[in-house]
Amino acid sequence: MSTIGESSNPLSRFMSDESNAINASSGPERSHVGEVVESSTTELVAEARQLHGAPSFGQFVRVDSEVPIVGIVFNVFTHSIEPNRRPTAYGKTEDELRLEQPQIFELLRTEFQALVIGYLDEMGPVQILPPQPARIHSFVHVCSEDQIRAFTHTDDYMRCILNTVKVPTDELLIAALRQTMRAHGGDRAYLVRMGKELSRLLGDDYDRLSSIVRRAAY
Amino acid sequence: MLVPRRKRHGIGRGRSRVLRKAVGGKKGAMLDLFAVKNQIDEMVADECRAQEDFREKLEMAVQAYRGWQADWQTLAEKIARSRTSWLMPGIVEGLDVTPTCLQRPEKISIAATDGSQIFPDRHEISSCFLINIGYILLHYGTGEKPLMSSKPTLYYREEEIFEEWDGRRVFVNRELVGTKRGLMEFSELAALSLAAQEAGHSVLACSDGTLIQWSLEGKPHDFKDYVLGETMRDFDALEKAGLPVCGYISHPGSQDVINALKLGLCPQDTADCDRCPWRPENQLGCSSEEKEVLQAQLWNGRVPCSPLDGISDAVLMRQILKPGQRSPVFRSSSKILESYGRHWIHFFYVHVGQEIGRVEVPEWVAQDESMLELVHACICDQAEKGQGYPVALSEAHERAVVRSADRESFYRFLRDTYVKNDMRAHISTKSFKKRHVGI
Amino acid sequence: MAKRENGTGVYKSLRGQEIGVITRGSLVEGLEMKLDARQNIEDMKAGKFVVIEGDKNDFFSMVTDMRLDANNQEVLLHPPRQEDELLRQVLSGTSTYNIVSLRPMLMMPKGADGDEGPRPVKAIPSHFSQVQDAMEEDVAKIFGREGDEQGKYFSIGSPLDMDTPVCIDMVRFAERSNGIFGKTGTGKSFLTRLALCGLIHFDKAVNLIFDMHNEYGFKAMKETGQSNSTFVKGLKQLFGERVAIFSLDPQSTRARGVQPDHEVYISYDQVTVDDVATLQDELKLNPTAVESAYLVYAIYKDRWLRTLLAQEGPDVEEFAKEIGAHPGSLVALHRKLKRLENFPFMVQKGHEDGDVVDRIMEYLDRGINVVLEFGQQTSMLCYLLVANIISRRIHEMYVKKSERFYSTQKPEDQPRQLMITIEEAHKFLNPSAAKQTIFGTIAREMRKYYVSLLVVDQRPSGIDDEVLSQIGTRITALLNDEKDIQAVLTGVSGTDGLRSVLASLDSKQQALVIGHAVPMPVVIKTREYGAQFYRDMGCLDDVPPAERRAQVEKKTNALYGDN
Ligand SMILES: Nc1ncnc2c1ncn2[C@@H]1O[C@H](COP(=O)(O)OP(=O)(O)O)[C@@H](O)[C@H]1O
Ligand SMILES: [Mg+2]
Repeated sequence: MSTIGESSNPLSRFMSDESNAINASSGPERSHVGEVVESSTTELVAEARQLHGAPSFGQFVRVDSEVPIVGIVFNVFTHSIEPNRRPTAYGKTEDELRLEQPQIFELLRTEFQALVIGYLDEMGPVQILPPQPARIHSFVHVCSEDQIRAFTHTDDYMRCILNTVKVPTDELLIAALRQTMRAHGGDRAYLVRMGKELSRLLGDDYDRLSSIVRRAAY
Repeated sequence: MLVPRRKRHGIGRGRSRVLRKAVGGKKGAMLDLFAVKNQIDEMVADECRAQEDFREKLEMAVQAYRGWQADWQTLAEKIARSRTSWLMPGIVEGLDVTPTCLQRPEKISIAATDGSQIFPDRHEISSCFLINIGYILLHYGTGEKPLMSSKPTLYYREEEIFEEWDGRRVFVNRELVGTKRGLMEFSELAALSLAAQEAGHSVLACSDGTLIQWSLEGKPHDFKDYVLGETMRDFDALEKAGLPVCGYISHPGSQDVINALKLGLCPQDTADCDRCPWRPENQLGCSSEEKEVLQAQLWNGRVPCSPLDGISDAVLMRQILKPGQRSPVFRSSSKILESYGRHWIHFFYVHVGQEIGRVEVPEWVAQDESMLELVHACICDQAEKGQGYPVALSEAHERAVVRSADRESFYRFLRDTYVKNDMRAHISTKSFKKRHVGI
Repeated sequence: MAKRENGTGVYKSLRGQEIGVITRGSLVEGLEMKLDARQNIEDMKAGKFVVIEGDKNDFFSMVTDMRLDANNQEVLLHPPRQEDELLRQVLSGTSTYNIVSLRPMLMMPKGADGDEGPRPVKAIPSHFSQVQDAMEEDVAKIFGREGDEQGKYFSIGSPLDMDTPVCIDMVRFAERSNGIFGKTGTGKSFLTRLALCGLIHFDKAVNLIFDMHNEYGFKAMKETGQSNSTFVKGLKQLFGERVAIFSLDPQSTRARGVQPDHEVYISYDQVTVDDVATLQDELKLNPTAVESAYLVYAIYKDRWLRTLLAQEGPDVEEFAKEIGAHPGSLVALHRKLKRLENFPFMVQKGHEDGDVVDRIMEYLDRGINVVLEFGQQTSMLCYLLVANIISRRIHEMYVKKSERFYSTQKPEDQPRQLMITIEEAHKFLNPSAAKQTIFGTIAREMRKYYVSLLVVDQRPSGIDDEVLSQIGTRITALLNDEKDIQAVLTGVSGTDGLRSVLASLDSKQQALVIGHAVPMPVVIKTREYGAQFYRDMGCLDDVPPAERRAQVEKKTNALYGDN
């Protein structure tokens, strides 16, 4: 259906603006994974472009706002868009459901929350919270490996995670570390360096440190 | 014991503070359960009696139905020649058929619409009204993304708020808005399903509720003609496209079939209710012997057809049909259908598992076996998917519905916009009071 | 070494890798460095030479101690498991870290070039100053470079873990008495040989060497760790004409393949009472015995010993009565001195070659270094006696020469600086002997008479403190005995650090150099005494003929121009 232009699709009159927009924007040039629907200086919520299509936990994302904002995904959730309707069990596989209960997938949304850890300016990564939060409806992209590398050269992102109470701190640290490890080409020396910074950031908490390091390296 | 005596003595009034505290703990208005207790007891006893009564009546209805199954033509003929005060269905398929639904075609698209409105409110800032139509197009068996949307339309122009029918100019009332909405639901359903067909789908159009515009009876001629004209145009288009359409009525209260059975109970060969000999007012010229004979034919002191009073077709069909089965097709006898022509509405009942639903179809669907089978199969499938209620219809409702919170937001938004544009916003105090109950 | 501003306002060191930063410390007690996590603590050897880059000065320092530390008891209670390599890497430098104690020895203002030179440490660097491995340039700046115009720098080794030569200033070395210490087998003799080579090669002093074990003149044994020992070249082999071998035991000398330049005989008349007095310990003489010797001397003067030893056993008592000495003491004296008659080099009268001391003096005057070999005469008694007699006489002559020079002030009268090498020095310089022997005198009067000592000893604690404090440069190989370490460090400030360094030296070919001839204490790996060294000293014996010819040609060309 997407190949048929708006005017030639007899059904387009009945479609919601939103799905018309998605149809129009499904070209290859749109590579975003989500769109900001809630935004604050420290945190943002984005709706995934596709159901179950959110970036992974611990993934670095970039928001195309006035200044590109960088964040780490710390929560992904899929839920009913209607507050008084709850998904129920059907006892069918997803494929079967897609054939026989297609409407349920329209009623679910995947959203994700990201912790804002800084932004990018002409000079490169800035590990400071952006002066303005991301604009609502800005597109969210997954960071490239280069961007991740540039952003995780220092330990500031770990400090951001540790300073946030709302997130599952240790798990997020582990996920982020694994993510950055990959971006650094599996460089063990990098992991050791970050481990040392982490040791400093955690102060005396040896137990926590060893658990994080062990699991991050797993 | 202290408590029962108190209870007996002062119902709701003379109770000590201590007791009140002990019972409710809270001051202020509250339901006095003690006062209702006796009434509840009475009510339950009555219900019990009624239920026994009901079971007996239902048994009779079932037996009557079964009795006519073999000899349905006789009943059909009697119906044809009798003049009853009730709607009498045309028996077109016999009473002995209870087809089980077939497998739904693997690939089918179900179109459905539903509407909802914000009625014009004279106490609000503007007398405009809004109709919201929900559109559902579900494609089965292809995995294609369904269409689920809604489109609101605001009516505010002079000529929209005031209508002139039969030479009288009236401010649109709830009834008019309701009719307008019903009309829109149907025309949009037709448009949606035709568009879907054009897009290459094979479609069944499902309307929420009856296809019979009985409410038009007694309305001004020009209004009636306008509404029916629109409706028929849509039916014509659907028929021309060979696109089956049906209306689904959940929890139907209709008694068409029961009425037929009642007629069957009537000892008269050709019944004429207006001249029902068992009614005392019609016995003026009768001899006492004749009166005695008639007296003996009464049931519990009432006319012979009365045993089936209070039973609905749905209750009867629950006894007759097994899940998935439908009743034979009947021809509705609503007077308004005389204007329907080729699209005369037929109906059948179907056991969808959770309930007995009533499905209405135009004549050209009723007479096309494959279309009828498709409707039957799809309704059953839809109800199964929707846990008892056709899923396309419930989704259409979800899209269309305007909840009170939405209504509030609508008016707030409206007011804000007025203010922003420097127009004087005025809300009558009555409306204001309704919103804020003072102390 | 200067730091360069890299545009961000942060100075970046031009030296190699940072090995740590200064975290605490004091001028008196030294500084502590937190070792950079990337460094392995096992690379931080005691005695390592490092540079602390302060804001204004570079502090040249020595690693004196190291310590493992942890900021968290938990880590120590539940150490990471062996297979938790990553965790261990993470912990190292953070929860667990290493502290290295540093002793700043010298400081030098940044950007100063040569002329300003290093100064004693009077300040300490600020917090978190970077610590770097020293570079070749640093070493050269402090210790100088061999091959300078004045020819005063002589390389005796290189700092630990570096290949750069550490030089001692030979002029300053010759100015004062020096000591070479270390346990047996740690390389004292090799060090001594090196030092002597330096003095001879650069001609900063003429040497008189009392070679008790025949190690310096011609061929010396080199332990190889295996059964077959090899030999290294002696001074005669390296410097030929400029070295003369005197032998107390010509047969033994010849047996080792060299003809001694002179055989040494000592007549009884050359032995003074003082000489005997210095043998007090060795001969177990009591003070009254020495008293009686003076009585004999009072009457017989130079011939006192000959006369005394001429008495036969029973006559001695009689003789005592004659001269009014205590008979018991004199008998004892007589009996003990009789041992001298066993020495083959002791002769009744002056030898036909003339007096041996005159001959030595003659050589020394001509700038020829004298190695006095003892051959088989390895007894302590012999060594003490001979060294004393000869040194005393030489010293007397030097005193006279010096006195003449002081009066004439003519440059040609200026005596050559003489350095006398003695082994087992504590025998001459122990607190009681030091007061009597000529060596005590030489050590104390410093270079007033152009004579200084090179004392070689394995038990420095046996040496008189006053003498020790006069020792200008100490080259010390491994010492274990606490007292010996103490003794070596007498008169050196800030020694606590050095103590541990000394005790942790390798058992061979490593030494701590402190004192007058080096600007700061330094631990060295001793210069290899072998083929390359011989060549450096200008000895081409072992060089293949073709190469040798080329070298000679080059030298000739340098002298006479290329034609
Ligand atoms: N500079 C050096 N070059 C080569 N070998 C050395 C050097 N210093 C010490 N050694 C080795 O150490 C051994 C012991 O040295 P030596 O001088 O005889 O000890 P000491 O005189 O202290 O008893 C030598 O035989 C030699 O093998
Ligand atoms: Mg030796």
